[in-house]
Amino acid sequence: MWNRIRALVWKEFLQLRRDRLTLFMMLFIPLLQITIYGFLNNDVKHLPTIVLDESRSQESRDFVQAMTATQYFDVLGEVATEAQIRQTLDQGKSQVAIWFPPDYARKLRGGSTAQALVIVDASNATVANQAMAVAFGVGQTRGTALMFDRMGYGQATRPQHAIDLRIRPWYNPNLRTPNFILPGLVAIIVSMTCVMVASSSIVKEKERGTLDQVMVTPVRPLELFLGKVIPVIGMAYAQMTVLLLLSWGVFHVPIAGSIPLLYGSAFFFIVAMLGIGVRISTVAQSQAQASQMSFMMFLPMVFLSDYIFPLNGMPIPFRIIGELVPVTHFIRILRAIVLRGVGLEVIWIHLLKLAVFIVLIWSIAVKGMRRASS
Amino acid sequence: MRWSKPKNRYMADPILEVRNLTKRFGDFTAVQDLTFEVEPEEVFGFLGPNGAGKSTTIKMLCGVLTPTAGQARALGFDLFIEADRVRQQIGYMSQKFSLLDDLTVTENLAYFGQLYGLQGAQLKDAIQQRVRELQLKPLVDLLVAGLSTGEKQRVALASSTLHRPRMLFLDEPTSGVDPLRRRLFWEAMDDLVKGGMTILVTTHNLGEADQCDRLAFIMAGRLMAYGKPRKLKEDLGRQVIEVRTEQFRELQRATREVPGIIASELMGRGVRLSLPAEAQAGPVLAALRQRGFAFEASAPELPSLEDLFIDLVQQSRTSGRGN
Repeated sequence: MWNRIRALVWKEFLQLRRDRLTLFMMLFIPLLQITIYGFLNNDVKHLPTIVLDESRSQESRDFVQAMTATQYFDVLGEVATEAQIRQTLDQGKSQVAIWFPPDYARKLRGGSTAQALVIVDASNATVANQAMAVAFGVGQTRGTALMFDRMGYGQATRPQHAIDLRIRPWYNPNLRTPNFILPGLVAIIVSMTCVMVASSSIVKEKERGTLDQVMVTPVRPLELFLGKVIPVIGMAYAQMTVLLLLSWGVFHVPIAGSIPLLYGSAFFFIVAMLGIGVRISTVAQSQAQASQMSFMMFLPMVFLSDYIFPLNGMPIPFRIIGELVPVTHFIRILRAIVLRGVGLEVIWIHLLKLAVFIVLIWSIAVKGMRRASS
Repeated sequence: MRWSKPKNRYMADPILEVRNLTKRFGDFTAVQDLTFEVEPEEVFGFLGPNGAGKSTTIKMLCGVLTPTAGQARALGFDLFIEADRVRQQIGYMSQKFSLLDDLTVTENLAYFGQLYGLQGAQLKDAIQQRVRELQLKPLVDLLVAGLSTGEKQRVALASSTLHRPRMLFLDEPTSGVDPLRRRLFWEAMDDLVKGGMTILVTTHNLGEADQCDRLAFIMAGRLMAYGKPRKLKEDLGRQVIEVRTEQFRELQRATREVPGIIASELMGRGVRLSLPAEAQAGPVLAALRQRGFAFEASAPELPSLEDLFIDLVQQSRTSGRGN
């Protein structure tokens, strides 16, 4: 049995060695992706900002300065009319506008409530949310300080804050985007390799007629599967290693937990994804069909995997689907081990779910193989 | 289940027995109720037009397709229940040659040899022997993708016989190959049979069919005739006379009015006349001469497989109309 499997694996490597395009894609795509994703940033600092200052006062200038001091807003310049605000936002030249009405300073000095308006381009909700939160914070701080002034407290006699709220971002103290994006990217790229390569593997032989030639030999379906799958497991581990090395070496994502545990749990994930690929391969009639089917599977899997869009915010049916997707569990495992540095005591539940998935998908795939060959 | 003994006791026990083999794809019946036997060390021809069900039958016998109904027994095992015990003794060469294009000839041979459990020195010897027998020496390090059809065919034969199967299934092995290569291929097959192999070969080439020890003629999935080529020809109950004349068209038209002629057809600048086997040719030829034709007539011969083929096609058409 092992001799036959060895022959099958040896043949896959021979073919891969001559298939320059696939080899290139397998190495190049992960490198490209990690480079792009590694430099990706969803920090929204330095938003282009314009000011419409009808108050023309020290007070309004103070507020603008407090805004720019946060580094979230870069003032490009002033505009003279409301119409110009619309124009620069419409053209995308600025994303934020700060507007002080003519009575801003007068009302402040007179002790009544002064109004200021911050307009945010909310076509990108993430950007808008952060910009609004920062602007709101600036408004609150300035407002409190001015209120104490009105109440006659000097700098020295100001009362203490009632609550001293301190916020500590654990596991990613500097709120670095690569720490969040790159571990998940390992799961995405590895699953792409597994599904794409495995899904074309058997249908390729079906197309060329070599599958029949193998089926007449004493090779059993399980051996054929192992012969197809072992090389892909090797490739997946190679990719994973390259990605982890790059994210650690180039993008300074620390690996807090156990690396053997990471590689061990990756095995569950790889085998689960290979099951999906092999299943596609036994159903599809041609390689083109197989890659269409894997692509159709792939995008929803990424979107429902908790990778970028939090599953918690989705409607229940989507959350259920998300929980069934192996990528979801491996991303949780990756984040748990890489960022939180925890071990088996936390990730066992995800490993168990992956194991159940493996049993299900592989029994379907092997059954499909028998039928495909009949 | 019990298998009936072959009727002709003087023959060796068959190496392959097929009973009521049937394959349906949905509403379409590709193979219907095929029953035949293959004797050890013979070349058994599976003859029929394209789409007759030849490949489907072979694929069922090799365990690539599951039959809808029927039994098959080969080398003492039930082919459909104990397939795993026979695979080692069966070789299969498909119509498409089914080699790995992106591997060299040696790599292909090593790959398929290992799938049949050959290893080390044993594998090396088997490859060397096949390379020598099939004159593959200059090709060994070339990628299969770059080979000609004839070369691929020889490599495919080598790879499907490395493990010395006792029974070899060849599906249209010579399609797309020139006549010289075809003859060389049949010589290679003869060598294998002399070495103790039994070969079941499909073809739609009548010349090849004539070289088989025995034939099964199938059409639209049904067995139409079965036996030694000579016997099949004799069973037609006819003799054929070739008549050469300048006025071949006129003569052929005239044959319709001459009693005792079953069929006539143009062939080159002559006419082939079919007469009942027991009839005397003399009176028929005299009747034609009487009508003013001058010709040379050959001696009466057995009909050819082509005559059988045409006869069977016509039979199946008339029976088809009867349905």
